[in-house]
Amino acid sequence: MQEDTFPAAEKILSDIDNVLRKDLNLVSFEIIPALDNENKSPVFHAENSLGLASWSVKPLYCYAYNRLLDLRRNKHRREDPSVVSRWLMGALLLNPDISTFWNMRRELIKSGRLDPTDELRFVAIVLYYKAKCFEAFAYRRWLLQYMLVEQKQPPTDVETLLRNEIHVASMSADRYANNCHAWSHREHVVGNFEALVPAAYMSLLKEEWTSSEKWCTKHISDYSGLAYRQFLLKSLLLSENSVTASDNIVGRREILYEFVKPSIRESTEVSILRDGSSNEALDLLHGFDTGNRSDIDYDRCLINLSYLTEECMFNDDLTRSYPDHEALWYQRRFLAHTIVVLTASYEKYSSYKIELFDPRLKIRQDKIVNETGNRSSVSRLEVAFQDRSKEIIKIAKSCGHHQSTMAEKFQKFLTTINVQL
Amino acid sequence: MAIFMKDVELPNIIPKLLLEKHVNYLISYGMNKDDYTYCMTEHIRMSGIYWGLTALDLMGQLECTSKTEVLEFIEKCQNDCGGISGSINHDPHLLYTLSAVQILSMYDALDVIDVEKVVKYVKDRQQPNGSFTGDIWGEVDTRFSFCAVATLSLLGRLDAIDVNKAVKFVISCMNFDGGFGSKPGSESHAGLIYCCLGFLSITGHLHEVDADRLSWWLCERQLPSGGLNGRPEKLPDVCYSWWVLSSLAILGRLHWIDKKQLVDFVLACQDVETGGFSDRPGDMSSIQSAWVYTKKIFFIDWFLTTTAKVRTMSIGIFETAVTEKYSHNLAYGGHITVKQHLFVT
Repeated sequence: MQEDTFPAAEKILSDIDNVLRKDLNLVSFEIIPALDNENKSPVFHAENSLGLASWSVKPLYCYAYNRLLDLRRNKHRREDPSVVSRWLMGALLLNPDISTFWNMRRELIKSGRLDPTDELRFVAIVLYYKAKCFEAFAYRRWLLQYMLVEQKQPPTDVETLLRNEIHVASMSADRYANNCHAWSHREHVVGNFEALVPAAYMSLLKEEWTSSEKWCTKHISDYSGLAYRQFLLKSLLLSENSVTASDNIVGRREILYEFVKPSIRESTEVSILRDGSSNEALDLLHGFDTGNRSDIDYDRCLINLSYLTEECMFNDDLTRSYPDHEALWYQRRFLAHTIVVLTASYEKYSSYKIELFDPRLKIRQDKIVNETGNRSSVSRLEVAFQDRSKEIIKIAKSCGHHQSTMAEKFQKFLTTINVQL
Repeated sequence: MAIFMKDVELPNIIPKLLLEKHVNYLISYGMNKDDYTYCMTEHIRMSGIYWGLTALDLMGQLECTSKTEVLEFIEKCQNDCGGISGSINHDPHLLYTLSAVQILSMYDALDVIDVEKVVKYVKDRQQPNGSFTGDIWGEVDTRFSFCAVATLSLLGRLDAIDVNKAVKFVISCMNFDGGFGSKPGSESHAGLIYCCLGFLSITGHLHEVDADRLSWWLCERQLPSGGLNGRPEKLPDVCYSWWVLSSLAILGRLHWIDKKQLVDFVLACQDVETGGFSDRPGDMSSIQSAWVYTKKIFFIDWFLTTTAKVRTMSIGIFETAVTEKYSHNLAYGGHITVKQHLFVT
């Protein structure tokens, strides 16, 4: 009999279950090193934290696992769903990689035996303990889909639900470096947000833009966070929403100007960038005279471009301080590539289109865009990026060693996209 | 300024390849009765068996295990829906369906399962946008696209799915650096690059890849210790060394990395007492994790398949000797994705 192998198991599972049920603000779960039981309960609960003494982990896990497999072996056996969900809770808390057990919880959700909101809280605790668990994130996405689409009564406050997902993704990224699953989940949620809460989508993007910048400043070697910013930047660059006061066009223009300022020599150019129309400013920045097309929202385009220059300056600052970090140099490669794409897109469409973001295009080599002779001058945007890059390469090379190698590799990358310094 | 780089140092004395210990290690894994380890890893047993058997086969020791037992096990893992699970009484998934089909191809025993049902199971996983879900619950990932086409290709049934749409989805996961992620917009990752290259190779679409650009990113994964990481600024790892190396092999640019340094790195990862490999030197069996057993197993498999490949590549006859014998994995540049599933998750 399995029960005899660890008689305390049901009691321990029930203690954990009680904590999960009663403490709605529970934050964490961890194993506490303890070699023997000293006749005390292995379950600890204090300050919204749940702990389990390490001596109980192996027998408790084996108990829950074997009970569940017994149940699956005897397909005709009936078992109280609350007992089954407790075994599942115990097994998944200690080993969340088993998709079969998450699937059993999916079945319990579908039959109404488990509440999806309670379930999201439980998975958050699992992710605190195993922050890079793919199966747990996949289950959260399934829960969201179930709640938002398949459930008869969808939740009224979708925004709060989705913002909570961003919070969980953020916690998971804090708990485990380069946590690609956490950032991928976050991208998924931003996509949900766009589809389901369109009115608040732009403000969410901007909040994410600001908060991820703060996060990346504190995690300079975490390329996953930077890759998330690439995702945000693309969304911002391709935005077609009409301009509103919240876009703060004056402030965004100032960011653009700050970026190109060190490379500007002519006072006429300064006045175009500061006081000219958005169309004139964009023509100058990209070095093309595209004419003034009535079907193009140049203000929107200018605002979008300002996010790219903001990221370039952010990358400048970090790389100056930490020229030995590959993640930062890789981000710079992305920015160099994006500038080439945007220039080509502006020439072709007078705005930024997703088509030219296809990584298979070799924009300059293959002459995707015919240089039709309307290039009026050099691209101020490109010159500014090149000047700033030269400066950073100089700093890195003066450090020698690994930093120097990073800078050389970046230079080599630029030649592959036909950007000359 | 200090030179900061995430890497490891190799010991002064690099052990030789301890084949006999690895064989013993693998055989003892099959007989391991430790309840906790078993319960922690049973759900991926199908893949564990595949890794173990390919390793033993490479060492010429396949007959040390019971073919009958393995075939009986696989038969019991096929679900009514056609999909195959990681172990008996677990749920079916594309990851384990591929492992099972790989083992059966190796034994030339596909008649053990209902092949038509497998084909239907895989076909039913394809979504309108061409992507694949891993099981009935809807999670999409490029790993599953690879599992789907690898399985069907081994069964000679690629015609069952919409290959063009499947290719389109995988291409939509390509990034500016030439690499691939798990979904459109996800960061490049060596394990997923391997899956996508394997996928494109099987479906005859490798020409969509910018081989030089991607190979450059891949060979930047080699660190001064000789080991390779799977993404920028991560530690070198035997497992990721495998994914990167297989990817470079598919792209025909294996010579872009330093072979001797890598071989030394891997040899230094051996557990000289028990056999098996750890993920990096110094991380030996001190970890009392249940993963250790499975980890060590597929590192053995990794090392053997890799060194076999490096050797063959070096004399310029890749895709001849080794791949003929191991067409169930090496024809696709390597091996099943569950490794990545485990150690990336």
